Amino acid sequence: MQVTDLGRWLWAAGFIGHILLFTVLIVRSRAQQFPIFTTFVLSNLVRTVVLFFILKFGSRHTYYYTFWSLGALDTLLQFGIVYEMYAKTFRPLGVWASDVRRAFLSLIFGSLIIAFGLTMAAAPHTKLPIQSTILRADFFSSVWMGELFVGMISISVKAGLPWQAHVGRIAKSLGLYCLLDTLIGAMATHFGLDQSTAPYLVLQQIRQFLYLGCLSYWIVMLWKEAPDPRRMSDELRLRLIRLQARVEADLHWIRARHPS
Amino acid sequence: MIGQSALFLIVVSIVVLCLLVVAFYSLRRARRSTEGSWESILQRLVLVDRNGIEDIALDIIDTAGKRRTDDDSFMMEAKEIWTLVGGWKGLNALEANCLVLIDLAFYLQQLYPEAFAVTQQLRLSAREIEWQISRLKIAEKTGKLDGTITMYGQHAIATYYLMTRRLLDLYAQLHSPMLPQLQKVL
Repeated sequence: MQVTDLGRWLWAAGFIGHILLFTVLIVRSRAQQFPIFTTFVLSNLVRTVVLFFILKFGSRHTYYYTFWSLGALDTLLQFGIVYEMYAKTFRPLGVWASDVRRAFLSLIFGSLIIAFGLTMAAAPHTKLPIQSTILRADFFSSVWMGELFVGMISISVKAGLPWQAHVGRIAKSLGLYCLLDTLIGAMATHFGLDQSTAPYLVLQQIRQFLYLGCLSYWIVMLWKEAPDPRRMSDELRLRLIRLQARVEADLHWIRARHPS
Repeated sequence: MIGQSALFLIVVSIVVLCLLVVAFYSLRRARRSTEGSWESILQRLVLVDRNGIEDIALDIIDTAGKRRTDDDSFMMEAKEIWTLVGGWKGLNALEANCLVLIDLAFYLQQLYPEAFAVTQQLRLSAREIEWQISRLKIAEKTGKLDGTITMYGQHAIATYYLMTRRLLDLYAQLHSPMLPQLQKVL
């Protein structure tokens, strides 16, 4: 199977980028903070190595089968990152914030309906049914993830839930990447794969460039330190717990008088 | 005539554009809350009659925030409550101030993330006030405002009063140097 010079360059750049990012995550101790994101980066490294050797020594069929299988794993890990960012934002003290649950559920179902609707509306022209399924699945995951990231940003700002600095950095960049990938996915379904694969390949290269941009951003931003929150003394923490109990009691009285 | 495929591209582009706009405005609002000075947040507070608010609230709750059960409680008439709070102008000011109170709590929360739980409770209180004021608006449309002022209006005002006290408590507990300034306006 022939890979163009640009393809090789993108592959190499991505590999180096992932090595650098993985190094940053380990050296700066971000891996404990973001285990799923770290697994995603590591899986991309492994994926590149595996595909390289299959390309060199394996068959075309093996390569495509491995490529799409690992691609599906990649997508699952990206959804895992979405969950990780949500958990860090909406359960800062280990419990999901109660006042955003309704908004949360509305977001998940609403975004799913929109993503599903758009995916059903897509009609890529392909030679094989499996190609159509892959294009649609790819498009669906980009749309849904983009919506989830934007929703996360919107709900957390409205609710006044702060982000840890690195959560914001990962979420914003991955969200932007997913939204741009949505446009690329839409164009891929528009051009299809029945007449020529050239437009599809060009779009994939654009996607790879965008992803390299994301990688570079993560390498720089995750290397930087986040501002440290002030440490609370035990006495202060106890006083805050008592205050929280009083505020909760206020709310209980209010709710008891006028259940909403 | 636009083909189905081209129409699909247009629709997707519109959806993506809408999402980008939502993200942009959310991030801009977040930046305003987090990077604005504390004084700029405080300046957004609309001045209300603090003594009037306190009188209305303490008619039904005590200074600890518990509901009063003595014979001298729940004595205020709807007309008196409406006058003291300043009518719709006053209620709308309270509703607007709720968001400022939350931003003031959020400001401290960025320094002390563990204050998140108190901020969350204040947000829930603000929702209650929003709900109670919406009931008053519906009552006004149906001509039943007078009958609901003590039920929802006084309740909303008491909730607001408690929010201000708890916010002051939060600043006091965390020994914030901004407490004196906050006490002047709340």
